[in-house]
This record gives sequence, C-alpha cells and structure tokens, in this order.
Amino acid sequence: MNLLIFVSLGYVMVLFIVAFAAERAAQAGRGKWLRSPMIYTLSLSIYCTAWTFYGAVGFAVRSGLEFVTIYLGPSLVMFGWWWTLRKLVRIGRTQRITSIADLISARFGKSNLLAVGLTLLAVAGTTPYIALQLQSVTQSYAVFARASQGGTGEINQTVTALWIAVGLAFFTILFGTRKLDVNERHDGVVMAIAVEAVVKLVALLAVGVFVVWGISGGIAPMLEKIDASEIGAWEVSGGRWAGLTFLSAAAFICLPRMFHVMVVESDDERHLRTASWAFPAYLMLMSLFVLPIAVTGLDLLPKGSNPDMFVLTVPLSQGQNGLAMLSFLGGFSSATSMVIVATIALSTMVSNHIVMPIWLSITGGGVSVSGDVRYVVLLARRLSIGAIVMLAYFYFQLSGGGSALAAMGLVSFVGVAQALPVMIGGIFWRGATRIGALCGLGIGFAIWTYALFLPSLGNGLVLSDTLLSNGPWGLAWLAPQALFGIKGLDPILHCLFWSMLFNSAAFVLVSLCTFPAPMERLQGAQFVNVFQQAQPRRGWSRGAAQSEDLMIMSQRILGARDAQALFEKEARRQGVQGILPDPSPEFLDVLERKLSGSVGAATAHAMIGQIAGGASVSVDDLLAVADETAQIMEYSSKLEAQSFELTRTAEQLRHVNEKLTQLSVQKDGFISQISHELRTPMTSIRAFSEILRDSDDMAATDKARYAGIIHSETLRLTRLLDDLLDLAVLEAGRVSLNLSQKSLSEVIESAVSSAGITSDTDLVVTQKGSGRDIVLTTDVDRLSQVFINVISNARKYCTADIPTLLIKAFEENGRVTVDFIDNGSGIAADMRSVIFEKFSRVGETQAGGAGLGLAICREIMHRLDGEISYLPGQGGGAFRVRFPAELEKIQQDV
Amino acid sequence: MSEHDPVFDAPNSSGRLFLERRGYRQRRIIDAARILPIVGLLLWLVPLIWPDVGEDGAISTSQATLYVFAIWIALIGVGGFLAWRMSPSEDVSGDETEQSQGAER
Repeated sequence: MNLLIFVSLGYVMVLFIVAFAAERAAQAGRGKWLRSPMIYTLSLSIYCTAWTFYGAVGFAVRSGLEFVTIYLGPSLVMFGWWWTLRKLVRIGRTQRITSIADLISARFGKSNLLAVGLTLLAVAGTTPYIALQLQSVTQSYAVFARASQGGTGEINQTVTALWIAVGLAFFTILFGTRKLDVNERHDGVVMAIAVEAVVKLVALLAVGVFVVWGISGGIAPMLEKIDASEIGAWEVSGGRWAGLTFLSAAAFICLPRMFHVMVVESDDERHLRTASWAFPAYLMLMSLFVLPIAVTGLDLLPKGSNPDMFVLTVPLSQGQNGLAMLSFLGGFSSATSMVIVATIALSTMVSNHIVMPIWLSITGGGVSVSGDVRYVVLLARRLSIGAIVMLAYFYFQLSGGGSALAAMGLVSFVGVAQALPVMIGGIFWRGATRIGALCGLGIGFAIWTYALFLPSLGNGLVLSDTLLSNGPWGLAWLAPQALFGIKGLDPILHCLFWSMLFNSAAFVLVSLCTFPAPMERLQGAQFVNVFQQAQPRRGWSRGAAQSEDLMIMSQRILGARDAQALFEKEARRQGVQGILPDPSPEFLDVLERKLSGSVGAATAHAMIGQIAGGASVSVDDLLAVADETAQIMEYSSKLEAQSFELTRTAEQLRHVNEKLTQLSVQKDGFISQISHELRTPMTSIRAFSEILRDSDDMAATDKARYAGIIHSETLRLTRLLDDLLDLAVLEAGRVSLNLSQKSLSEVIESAVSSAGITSDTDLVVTQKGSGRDIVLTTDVDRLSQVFINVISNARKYCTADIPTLLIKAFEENGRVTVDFIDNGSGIAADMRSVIFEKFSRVGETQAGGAGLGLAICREIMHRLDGEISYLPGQGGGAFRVRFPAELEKIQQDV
Repeated sequence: MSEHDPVFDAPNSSGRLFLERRGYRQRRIIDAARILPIVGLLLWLVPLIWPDVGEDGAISTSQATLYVFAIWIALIGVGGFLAWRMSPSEDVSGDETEQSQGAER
C-alpha cells in the first residue's frame, strides 16, 4: 500500500522533472526535438484515457469486439486527415484559435453567445469524463489496497479521489498556466503527455504479452480460447457498430482536449502527415490485447469481478505484482494526461469566453486603463482549472462511482459530438450563419441533456421513473429514451440519432433562411477559403482608435516588453518614426490576432472594439472595402490601358521616324534629281543654241533638227515645272475644281486612251465591275488625270511578260471604288509607305518622271474628298481609288 | 478530382516537364490519401452484412478480430507509404482543389 503511494508519487515526480526539463529546453531554444512529429503523435494519445485503458476490457467483456469501434472512428479521421484535419489545423494557425469554442465563435462573426454556449456544452460534456478518470484511478487504487491487505482493508475512496483531484489540479496549474499565449505551446505539458503515452502503451502491451504468451501459451491457443469464451461469437448489432464508429470519429474531432492537442498545440502542419498513420498504429496497438485480456479475465477470475479492472486483477491473480504495478501506472498516466489537457482546454474556454467578457463589462470602458490584465486572465484560468476538477470530483461523489465506465464515456462523447455539424458546416460552407449554428447547437444540446445525460445519472435522480417510462405529462412520444414512440433502441444510439438529426437539420435550415451579418461573411470567407489566402482580412475601418490606448491595452495582456516589441515592429513596417504605429486597419488586424491568441477571438475583438469604437464592420465598411477594391482594379486597368497607349504611340513614333528618315534621304535624292532633270535639258538647250548661234553655214535640215531638240527639251522643262507648280498649288489647297457630269466608264475610257494605250500596245486592259455606269459629278478632268497617272504607271512598271491591267469599279454608299490591278511584281513592302510622297520613285532608273505623279494623285484625290492607296495582296501592283460619286458643292468652296 | 492536369498545363520546356511530372505524381498521391479513409470505412462496414449467430456461416470473434486488425494494419501501411511519398511542399498543390468550394452559395 505504502509502496503504491511511493511509486505514484515517484512517477509524478518524474513527470514534473520531464516537464520542467522540456520547458527549460524550450526556453533555451533547444526545444527543436520537442516539436517533432512523433511527440505530436504521442500527444494525440490523450484520446486513450483511463476509460480506454481499463474500460475497453470491460466493454469487450460486455459486448465483445464492439469495443474496437471506439478506435476505428479516430483511425478513419486520421486516415482522412487531408479532408478535415488539415483544414482545421491551418485555420487554427492562421486565426490563432485557442479552443473549439473559439473556432466556432470566430467563424460565426466572433459571437460571444456561441462561445459561451459551446463552453457550457464542453464543460457539461467533459466533467463526467473527468469524474470517470478520478473514479478509475480510485478504483484501481482500491483494487491494489484490497490485494495487498488480503481483501480486508477498504480504503476511503472519497479521500483518495480528493487527493488525486487536488494533485492533478496542482500539476495542471503549474504547467498549463505559465504562459498566456496559447499559441506558444505548453512544451512541458506536451512532453509529459508524450511520456505518459509511452508508459500506458508499454503497460498495456506488457499485460497483453503476459496474457497471451505467459498464460495462454501463444497466439493460436489464445484465438481458440477467445472463440470458446462467452464472447466467442460475432453478435454485434449493426446499428451500434456503425453508430459508435461515427460517434467516436465525431468525438475525436470535437472533444475539447483533442482539439487542444491537435489544433491549438500544433506546431507544424506537416506533423499531421506523420500522425495520419502513426496515431492509428498507436490505437491499433492499444486495442490489440484488449480481447485476450478480457477473455483471460473471464476465464481466471471469479464470476462477478469488475471487468473494468481486469487489466489490474489478472496480473495480480497470477502473483505478478510488478506487472500489476506497471499496469497501474499505465492507467494512472492515462487518467492524469487526460485530466491535465482537458482542464487546460476547458479553463482556456471558461476564462476567454465567460470570465473575460464579464470582467470587461464590469470594468466598463476600462480597457485602456493601465495595469496588467494578464494576472486577471491567468488567475481566471487557474481558478477555472480548480473549479472544473472540483466539479468533476463532486460529480464523482454524486454519481457514487456506480455506473459502468464505458457507458459514461459514451454519454460524454454524444454531448461533445453536438458541435460536429456546426464545426464541419462552418469550415466548408460559407452559407452557414450564426443563428443557424445557435439553433443547431441548442437543439442538439437540449436533446442530449433530456434523452441521455439526465437519464444516465440514474433512475429517479433528476427524472422520475414515471417520466422515463411514460414521458412528461403522460405524452408517451416524448419519453426521454423512446422519442416519437420508437422504443427498444439502444439509449446511446437513440440519442445520437435524434440529436444529430435535429441538430444538423436545424443548423442547415435556419442557415438557409437567415442572412449572415457582415462580420460573419468576412469570417466565413476566411475560414472556408483558408487555403487561398488571397483576400486580405479587413475587419476594421480606419477610425478613432488611438495608438496610445491600444498600446496601454496590449501591454496589459501581452506584457510591456512583448507589446512594445510588436508595436515597434509594426511602426517600422509602416515606416513611422518612434514606437507608436499608425492605427491602420491592417495594424488592428495584426493586433487583434495577437490578442486573440491570449484571450480568444471574441474577447480580443470586443477589447479592440472598445477602443476603435463600436462595431468594427458595417455594411458601409464592407461596401467601402469593395469600392476600394473596385477602384484599385479600375486604376490598374487604366494603367494597363495607358501603358498600351504608350506602346502604341511609341510604335507610331517609330514609324514616323522611319518615314522621316526615308523622306530626308529622298529629299536629298530629289534635289540632286531635280538639279539633274533641270540641268540635262538646259545643257542640251544651251549647247544646241550655241551651235545655232555660232555656225553660219549649216544645212537647213540640221538647223531644223537642232531647233526641234531645243523645242522638245523646253517642253520637257515646262512639263516638269508644270508638275511642280501643279503640286504646289494642290498642296496649298488653292486649286479650283470644275464640276461636271460624266459617266465613270467614259472617264476610264478616255484615261486609257490618253495614257497611250491602244490595242497595239503591250498592256492589255480589261474592265469589270458594276459601278461603271454610274454618272459622276466631280472634277472629271482631275479625276482622269489620276487615272491616267495610275494606268501609265502600270504600263511603265509592270514587269510581267504579258502585262495586263484589270480595272474594277463598284459603288457603295455613294462612294465609288476603282481598283487598278496589274500582274507585275507590285511594290515592295518597305516602299509602300513612301510611294505617295513627293520626290519618291520606285527603283532607281526606269523610264523618266521626277517621282511627282503619285504625289499629285494623292493631292488631287484629297481635293476630291477621296483617297488613293496601295492595295496589297492582289498578286501584283494594285491601287485603289475611292471618291464620292457626287462631290458636294460646299466641298469646293473650302 | 476537379483540378486541372498539370502535365498539360506545363510549358513545353524539358526542365519543366520533369518537375510537372513530379507534380502530377504528387496529385495522385493526394488523391490516394483522400480515398484511403473511404476505403477503410467501407471495409470496416463489411461486418454489418455478416450473418448472425446460429445462422449458416456465422463468424467467430477470432475471425472477426483478424479481419478488423488485418485491415487496420494494411491501412496504416498504405497511409505511411503515402505520407512518406508526399513532398514537403504539398500545400501548394492542395490550393486549387479548395476553390470549388470557394464560391459563396
């Protein structure tokens, strides 16, 4: 007996040392190995409580293999980590979630009402479970006491349980409330839990190995023994098999302590990946020997022994006191680790969601009063830990430690599973609303209390026997364990089915019918789209928040040094001198998230709200944010358009520049050309006139010939000068047009003949098109000048063997289009932009012309309100002439 | 799954192709990780159709135990393999799979 106390105390001392060493290592920055995936996996093992350690065997004795469903559900959840857990952990990290109540309250617009409701649900669901731990440790202690004192000495269970409760509360307060920011992990606690996980696994495996190989003589005899025992046949009800698997899976996610180790204490998302197979392996090992131990216990121990204690009593009955001691330690560690984490999780919820809001409202607008709030929060946590453990103790006293362990565990599971629809809906469905969540949770909680929790306290304790069997006011369909007249169902399944059905239905239906507040919609988008990270979180509008007030408040929660460091960092990021950053919405978000790590989302939001002034987000703010986004988008599209415009302008400039360069080259060429053109006839005129002047004896024929040459040269000069003059007149816009009427075909015919094209010449001209009959009202002479020019160009420059010229004419909307298409080689692309310029000539030599023809054409067409352009892609040189069929009178007056 | 196929979205440079092929493999590993719990659930629900005691072909507890634990071990093995093959940066590929749920409905 004394030995047992000594061993327990020694074990607790070891845990203390481990926890201290881990804390010390973490503080010294040597805690890297503390954050390995294996430690994370082991910390998840608080799922296996004393209920699992002792109760699973009892469960197996009562229902055979059915006990395994309690492990199958969590295994499936872990295998399916990619679906849910990954998202939960990511949300927990980005939103600095401190508990499951915090998660759901933060998702639904930081609603404190939801947080309070969930906290109450969690306390109601967890207290019996903690009581269960106290009970199992006390029972195991009693078993030892009886064994060591020959079955005579009965220990005082009340006192034992009280001592255990006090000890656990002490340990939890010491390690669980050292730091305020829950997101900084409790390294000491996590390490202690990991050690305990190993201890309980080793203990259970040791008992199992002893039972299989020490007592039964191997695996095959063991299997035979199992089949021969009273639980040897498969008698599991399908409903319970599926229902309990679902229940344990739901509870695994929703249990406050599981959420705490899985999400809140999670250091690295990648740890989940290892845990996804390692934790099922742990569970598998934990359940591997349950059935053999149960069967052996049934075999060896007298009828009526408590099957919940087989793990202890089987080794004891074989005189294996050392093994029994190890097994006791295993059960002890299962109980302690569960109680520690559960109370930490619950106390966080209670202090963040119940104590702090009350304290805030009592102190009124006192958030910005200086003084350290951290002590208030920590004190609230410490007191809640004590209160929760004591509550569990009283529950244990009240229930008298009578009911079977497993049943109590399942009752608890159904209670916490009520959070499942809201949680899953919250992270996957943006349409879920706060009112819907409240309705779902409320109905689920009510059904659980009425149909399972109160009846489980024992007949006649709260609900009378008549009410249980006949329903309230004689309404049989409202009987707690036979709702809607469906009798004979297993109570757990019965409650699970109805509560889940009504819970989810109310949640979904009310969500569908209500409209979420702006804050809920913001948060909903944040949670559901947590992997996109695209939209910035904009919870606060730039308002009256004063940095100094914020500073005072943050110092009280984060501590002066941390708060100043945070403010300074933000100030530097904003580029502000000094330590006080601008109270920008971004800064308020950062601050709120940091604070919510300490006091929970709803409280942090309320505290900043007090300073920043009222509700943080209104529809107007949302609209403003949307406007801002729209403006930014508009601005960026404007920028884009501008840059496109710039590119285009640059392109145009480049073209112009190219053209200018070419023009300058052409101009130089023209000056020498024109000098040459003028000079050549002048030279011959001078030479021949000198001959005529100086030679007296000259034949009349020679005289006539020389005079002819001089005459033709002057004609050429005159033509050149005429052209230049013509162009100058046209360019200056001083030309007067002589309007007359003539049909287009006539104009073309005369142009063709004027260009010297006859049936003998080498150019074959064909005409096509519907527009040739049209009667034109324009300056017909000028127009035919253009035609002549184009046709004679074709004649001069067409390089084909049998040159042909196709003239197509058609009319459209009062504008006539005439195309001149030859079958020559056309004009090279680089020349097309300059052929209409003065002085330009295609090719260097070729027949005459000063390169003014097309320039004159262009000017004429311009005067005629038309245009002439080169038409590419016709298989040869092609020009298009377009002009109005009837030139308006006004036009000529311009 | 609804995500687009990275192999066909990849530009045609040979260096990229290698990387994208790895990305493709990663996607399929993630698909497998998604399916794993469903397979496990289905296999573990098989006991629902086992005959009751006294009927022909009734299952003994030892057989049931072997069945349940064999599945368990197989799932752990596959899960471990998938976790081992998953690249450390798997979150990049997980992003757009979430987008189908992103729209407000």
